[in-house]
Amino acid sequence: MKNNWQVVLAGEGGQGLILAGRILSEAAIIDGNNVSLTSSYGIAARGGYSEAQVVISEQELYYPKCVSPDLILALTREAYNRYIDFVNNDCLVIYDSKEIANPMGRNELGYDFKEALLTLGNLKVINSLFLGIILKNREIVSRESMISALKKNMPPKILDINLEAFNYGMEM
Amino acid sequence: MAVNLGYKEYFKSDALPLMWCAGCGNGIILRAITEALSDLHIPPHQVVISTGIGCWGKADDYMKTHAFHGSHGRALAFGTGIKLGNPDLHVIALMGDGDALAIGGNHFIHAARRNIDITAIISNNFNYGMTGGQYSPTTPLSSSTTTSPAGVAEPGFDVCALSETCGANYVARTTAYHVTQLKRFITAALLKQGFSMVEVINTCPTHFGRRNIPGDTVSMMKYLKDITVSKAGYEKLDEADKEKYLVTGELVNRERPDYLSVYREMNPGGPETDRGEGH
Amino acid sequence: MSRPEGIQLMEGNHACAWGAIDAGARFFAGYPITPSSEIAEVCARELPAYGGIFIQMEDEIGSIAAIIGASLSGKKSFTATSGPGFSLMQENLGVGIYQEVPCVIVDIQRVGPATGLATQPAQADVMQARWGTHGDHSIIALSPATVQEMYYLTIRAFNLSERFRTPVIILGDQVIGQTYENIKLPDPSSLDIIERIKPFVSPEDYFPYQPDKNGVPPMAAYGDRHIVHASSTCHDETGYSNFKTQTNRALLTRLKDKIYNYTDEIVDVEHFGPDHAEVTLISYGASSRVCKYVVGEAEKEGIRVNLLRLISIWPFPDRIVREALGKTGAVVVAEMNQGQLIGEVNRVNATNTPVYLASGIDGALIDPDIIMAAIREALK
Repeated sequence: MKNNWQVVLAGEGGQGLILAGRILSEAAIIDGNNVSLTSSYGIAARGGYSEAQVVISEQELYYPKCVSPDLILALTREAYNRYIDFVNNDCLVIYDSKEIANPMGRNELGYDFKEALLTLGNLKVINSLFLGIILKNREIVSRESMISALKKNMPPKILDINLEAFNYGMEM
Repeated sequence: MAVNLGYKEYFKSDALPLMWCAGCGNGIILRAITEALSDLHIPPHQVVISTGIGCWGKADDYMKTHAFHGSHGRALAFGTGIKLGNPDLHVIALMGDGDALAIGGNHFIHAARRNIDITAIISNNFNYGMTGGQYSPTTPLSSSTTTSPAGVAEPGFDVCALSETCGANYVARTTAYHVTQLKRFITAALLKQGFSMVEVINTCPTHFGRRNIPGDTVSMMKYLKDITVSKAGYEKLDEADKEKYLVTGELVNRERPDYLSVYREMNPGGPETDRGEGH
Repeated sequence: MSRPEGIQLMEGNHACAWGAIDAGARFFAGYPITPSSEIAEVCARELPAYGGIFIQMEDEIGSIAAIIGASLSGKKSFTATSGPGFSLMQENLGVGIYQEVPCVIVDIQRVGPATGLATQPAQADVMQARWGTHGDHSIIALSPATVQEMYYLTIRAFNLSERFRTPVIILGDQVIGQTYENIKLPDPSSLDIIERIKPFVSPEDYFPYQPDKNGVPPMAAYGDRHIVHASSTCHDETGYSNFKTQTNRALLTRLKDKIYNYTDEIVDVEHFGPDHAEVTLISYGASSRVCKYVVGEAEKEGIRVNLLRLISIWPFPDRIVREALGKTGAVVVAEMNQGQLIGEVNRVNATNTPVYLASGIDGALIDPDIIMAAIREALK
C-alpha cells in the first residue's frame, strides 16, 4: 500500500476544506504516518479562495507543501483552473461537475455534490461527503482511522449526519 | 518596626536635594504620597512606584519602595503587568500631563476602562517641563509655550472628565497648594480598589509659569489657588464664570468591580492563583 | 480543553503556547494580529487553569510593557505578534534588555514592510530582531523549523531568558506558526526548566543590579523584602539613576559580555547531509526545511549538497559559519527576504568562499526551484 501522499483540497471559504484537511491528517497520524497540513486563505473572514494541502509520509517530512499532488479536489472553477495545467497524469482530479461544466478530460472524475447533499438533506456536510469520495477512489488512509478522526472532530450533535455523508460518499 | 520613621521610611532622604526647579510642586506631591503610605502602614516592599518620562518621571529616584522607571507614556502599561503579576502589590503610577495624556493617552484610557487596581497620580503643570516648555494636551487654549509662541491653537483635556468617562472608580482634582487635601485624596485613592486617579495641578515656574503667569514663585502658588474652586463653590457660579475655574474635590467615588476580580470570577484558577512571590 | 496527550495534530502556534505553559509561563499579554493570534487564543483558554492570567492589551507597546512588568513581579511572561506589532514592541524591547527582564517575544513573521501580506510568510524581521530597538544591545533569537521544534524552542527561549536575565525572541514565520504537524508533548516532569537565580544575601545587603560572577544579577521580585529598583535610565548596581560615563561604560559592557561571553552555550545548529559537499546551504526556520528537501533533490542530480541549519540566530554563530565556509566550494544562503542573514555570513567569510543568495519573496514558502537555481549558479 502506498504510504506517501500529497493531497490538495481546494475550493472556497465555508466548504470545510481546512477541517477536512485536519480529519484526513489525523486519520493518517492514526495510521502511523507523519503529516503536514498547510492552508492558504485570504484576509476575509468568510468566502474567497481557500485550500488545504496534506502531505503524508512514512519518513520525516521536510517540504510541507505538495510538489506533485497525487489527488486534487476542486470544488470551484478557480480551484480547478489553478491546478489542472500543472498536475501530472498520475494525479487524480475530483471536481464538482456542477461547477466545472467542461473538464479537460484527463485523469479526472466529476461528482454532483449538490445533488448528493440534497439527497442527504444537509448542505453543510460537504466535507464529510468528499472525504468519502476521496477514500473510495484512493486508499490514502484506512477507513477505520478516517471514522475515528471524524468522530474526534465533529460535534456530537452533527456526528451522525456527517458519518452518513461520509458513507454515502464511499458509495458514490 | 521599632521606630516609626514616618514618610522617611519611603523617602530616600540621602538622594536630596531634589532635582526639580525651585518653586516646582513635585516635592510637595512626593511628600504627600510618602505620608499617605506611612499613615496607611503599607510596608515599602508592598509598593511599586511606576514612573514615566519627564520631570515627574524622575520621582522614583527618591523612593525606597520597589520602583519601575520605564518608557515615555507607558507607566500604566508596565504597571498593569506589575499588578497582575502580583495582585498583593500597591501599584502607583506617577505621570506628567504629556506623559499620561499625549504619548500615554491610549494606555491611560484603557487602564481606566479596565478599572485595573492602580493609583495614577498626574502632576499637571500644563507643559513639557523637562524638554523646555512645549505645549501639552492640558495646556489651556491660547497659552504661550516654546512650541506655541502665538498661543496654543488646541483646547486642553479635562483629565478628570476623561477618567470618569473611561470608567475610573475614584477621580479627584487638587493642586500642589492644597497640601492637606492632596494627602487626603491620595490616601483615599490608595484605599480604593479599582482605577483611581488624582490630578494635581502643579506649578512650572521655569517654563509655563514664566511665560503665562506674571510674578514670582509665590504668585504661582497663588495662581493655583486662584484658578481653582471647590465643587460646592463651582455650583454657585454663573455659567459664564464656570469656564474660568478648575473644580477641585472628589469628583468620582464609586464601587465598580476591578479588572482582576471580574477576570477571576470568569476564569477561576488553581490553588496557586494570583499568589505573589513575596509570600 | 486540557493539555493534549499522545501524538497530536497541532499547529505551530498552539505548540508555542503549550511550550510556554510547560516552561512555566503564567502571564501573557498581547494584541491580536495575523498570523500569530492562535497563541493568544490558547493562552486565553488555558492559562487560568494554571493560575495564570491572559490580558489583551490596547496595543503591542502595552503588551510588551505588561509582560516586562509581570516578569518583574515574578511571573514568567510572554507575548506573541507579527511584523507590525513587532515594530511597535521595539521601544520597550530595549527597556527589557536594559533592565534585564526575562521574557519571551514570539514574532510569527509575515510579508512586510507595513501591512504587507498579512496571511503569508516571510523571514524579513531577522535584522530588526537584532537591531530594531535603539542603542547598543545584545539579543538572543531562536528560529524553529517544525511544529515539534516550535514547542521545544519555546521552552528553550524561556530557559535562556531566565538564565541570562534578558528578553529572548522566537523568530517564527507564518509557515511554522500555522502548519499542522504530528507532535507529541512530553511529560512535563521530564523537561529541564531553568528558573531565575534569587538573591542569596539579606535584603539590607541586596543591590538589584550587582552581578554574579557570570555577569547576571540575582533577581528579586516586586513584593519581596529585597527591594528592586528597575530603571530605563543609566543606573549603577543599586538600580538608581547614575549619570557617570564610567557607569554607562560598565553597564553596556556587562550587558554585552553576559551574553557574548557565553555564545557557545546559546548557539544551536544542525548539520544535515554529507560531511563534504560542493555547495553548502545555510538557512533557518521554514526555509531550512525546504533546504533539507533540496539536499535530497540535488543528490538525485548527482550534486553533493549539505545544509548548516541555524536553530539559534542571535548571537550569530561566527565560528561555526566560518568553519562551514572554509570547507565547502560555495555557500548558498536561503532565506525568505531580499538578503538579511547573508550579510552576517559574508562578515565571517575569512576564506573568500563564494556566497550566493536564494531569496524567497513570493509571499509563500520559498520554492525549492529558487534554491536549486542558486546551487546551479554556484556550480558554474
